[in-house]
Amino acid sequence: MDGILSSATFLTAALARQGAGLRAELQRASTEMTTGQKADAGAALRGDFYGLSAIDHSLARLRGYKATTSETALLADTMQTALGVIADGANTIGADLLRNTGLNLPAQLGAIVGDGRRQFDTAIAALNTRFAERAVFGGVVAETSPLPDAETILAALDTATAGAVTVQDVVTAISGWFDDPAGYGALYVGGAARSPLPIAAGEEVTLDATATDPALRDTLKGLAIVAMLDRGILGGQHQARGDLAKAAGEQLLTSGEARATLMARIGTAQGQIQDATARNGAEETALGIARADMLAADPYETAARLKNIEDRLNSLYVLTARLSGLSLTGYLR
Amino acid sequence: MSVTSALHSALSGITATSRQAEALSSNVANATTPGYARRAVSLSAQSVGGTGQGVTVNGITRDVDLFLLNDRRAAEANAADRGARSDFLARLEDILGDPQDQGSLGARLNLLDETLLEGASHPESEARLAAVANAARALALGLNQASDAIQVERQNADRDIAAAVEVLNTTLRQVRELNSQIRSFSGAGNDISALLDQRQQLVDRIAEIVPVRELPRDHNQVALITTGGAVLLDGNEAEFGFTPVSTIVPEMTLASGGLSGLTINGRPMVTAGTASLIQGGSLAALFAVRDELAVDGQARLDAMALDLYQRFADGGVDPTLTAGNPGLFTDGGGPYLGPDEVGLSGRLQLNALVDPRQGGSVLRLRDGLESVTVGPTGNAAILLAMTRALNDPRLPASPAVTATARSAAGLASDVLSTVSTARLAADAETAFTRARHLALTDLEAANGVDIDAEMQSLLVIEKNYAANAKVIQTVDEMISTLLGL
Repeated sequence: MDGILSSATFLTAALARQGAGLRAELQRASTEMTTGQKADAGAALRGDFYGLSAIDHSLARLRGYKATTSETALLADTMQTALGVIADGANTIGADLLRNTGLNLPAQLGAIVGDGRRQFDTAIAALNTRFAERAVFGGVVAETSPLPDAETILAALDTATAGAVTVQDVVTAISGWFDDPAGYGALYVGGAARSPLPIAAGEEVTLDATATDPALRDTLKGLAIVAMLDRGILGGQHQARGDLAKAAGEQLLTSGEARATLMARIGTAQGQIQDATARNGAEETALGIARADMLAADPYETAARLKNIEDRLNSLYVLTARLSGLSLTGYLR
Repeated sequence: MSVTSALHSALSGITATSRQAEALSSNVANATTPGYARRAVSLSAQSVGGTGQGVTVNGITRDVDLFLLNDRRAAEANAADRGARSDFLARLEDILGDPQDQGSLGARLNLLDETLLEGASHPESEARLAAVANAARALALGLNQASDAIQVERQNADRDIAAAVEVLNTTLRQVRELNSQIRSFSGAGNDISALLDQRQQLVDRIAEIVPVRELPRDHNQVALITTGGAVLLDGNEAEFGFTPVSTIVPEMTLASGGLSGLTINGRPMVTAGTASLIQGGSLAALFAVRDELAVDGQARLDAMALDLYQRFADGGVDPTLTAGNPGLFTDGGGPYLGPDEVGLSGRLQLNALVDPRQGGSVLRLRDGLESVTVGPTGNAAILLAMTRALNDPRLPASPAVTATARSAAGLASDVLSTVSTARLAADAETAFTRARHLALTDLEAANGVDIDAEMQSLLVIEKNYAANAKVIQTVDEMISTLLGL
């Protein structure tokens, strides 16, 4: 092999090639050292991008879920607050009406129905709650408030109860008006219920309560009767007005369960959203770690490789210097 | 035997050593010249009438191992072939993009998915809808750019083929001319080594383009035959023909007649597969890139584009859509009519109905593409249907990818993985062929000029010259003695 080693062409070519190879390795190792990632993702994954792509896709979807969970959570919270306001008012008035034995006395009745009228206004305002430019109880129609103001509704009820002479007539007329698509339904300008929204992989949350929900309508029926009493329906018939007030109290009591169920439904959704948020957060972290593992360059291994290349490059330079000194020409002088 | 003949022998020795020194100096001077073969002076004893009469120089010989040379050239051609292929596949992988890059197709697809979900979460927000439109436009644009990039690759390959054919024709003509010069020079008894070196360099240049075997012919002539069996030069040179085109679009293929094939002496040649006479060289690799690898990459992109188009155009996603009309993406503004999907990835566009830049309105993403009125602002149903359309497993309609039901992101990663796996396999082959080429180059170099050996010879030549001179001096003294008597 002496001949090969001292052949000028060979020496130049071989040393240059080895030097270039080592420098390329050095470049790759130092890139991996500074970025902490494998320089060639395809090679690190052996050409199999399925896992990495699936993780990237899941991470993208998790970013999307971040928006759906946070926004749906706010929507559910707002709904829950509004329902709380309505339920509080209805429960208070209902209890007051049922507890009071002097409802046929105009003075006592007047105090309660005055309060009831305000509660009716509050309930309508609560159903018209807007949050971030979205009407909360309007279903898919988010741009406008779902209901007109309380006065308009009561005016419509004035017309609906115009011919009613008995307590039963009034109750039936009011109840009928709220159930009639041409009555309450015509004043409701909201849309159909919102679509269930995905909040995590394979999981959807439904927030479909609108102002036309039966639980809310039944509550409004009771409050509306009280408000109508405040407007002076069955004027002068103290006994009948007292009975009507009692009927309103019963209506508010019986609808209490439906209200509680509705609030529980939204509460469940709130819980579901919170769980999903926590799970999504955990999943995002886990996926981030898995993804880093796929492409991460082990710093210890990289550092060891870097040191090794450095040593070899040093040796190569020493060798190049020695070999270029090994020439017969030099000794022949 | 006489004193005069002794003088003659010594003189012939001086001449021979001078020639040796001349060859040696040339060797040392050309120690690192590529294609230079070591010269040696061939000597034999001169005899007149059965007695020694000094030394005669037969001529200069070139130290060339033809088998090694042929092997090295074949290996070089092979390395060039494999290298060109794996380089292209690496570029194709870059065109599709590492999923970590924001500009990659996978990332663009993910962004569309993400913005659709965010849009569904708050369909009232026009900004969210605009983000969906932007992401969809970016995805279509990404596919367009990838398709364009592939066609540019094909165009470069076409241009490189034309250049290679030009070099091939010129070089073959030069080799033929050198052949005839060598014939006349050697007939006149001149030193032809430099011409032989020059011819070897020219043949080396040919060997990079097509793998070539050099066959010796009488009077120092060579014939050149590709390892596939095409005669490039035997007496007369072959003439290759190729017509480059200025622009390549996906529909133009060799089969469609839109692209030029290769001709030899006016007859068409097969440029692909095992029947190809030029297989295994940079020319064959360029044809493979232009006609197979890039076309295959384009077909996969088109399959992705068709899948995307159909996901949104299918019934059930958007109830306002008239059957047959395009969904979120259009084929150049209109519906995809099939069956020819070639180039679809270059034509895919965001539907003008939802693109504000084309006079559309992003609100149609929420209300339905063909809705005429503005619908309820909280309606997320269509946006949700779109995310489902993007993520539901769907059987791709294109034959270019395997018939497995996948999500859009799954198909994208499938295409990338296929290309990446092919690139790694090609890389491994390239490394192997390159190593073989280097090993043979080293072997050839080892046969080259060794300066130390030349210096050793120089010492011998110096000694021989001095000895011959001494003989002349002594004979001179002898003659002087005789004359002085």
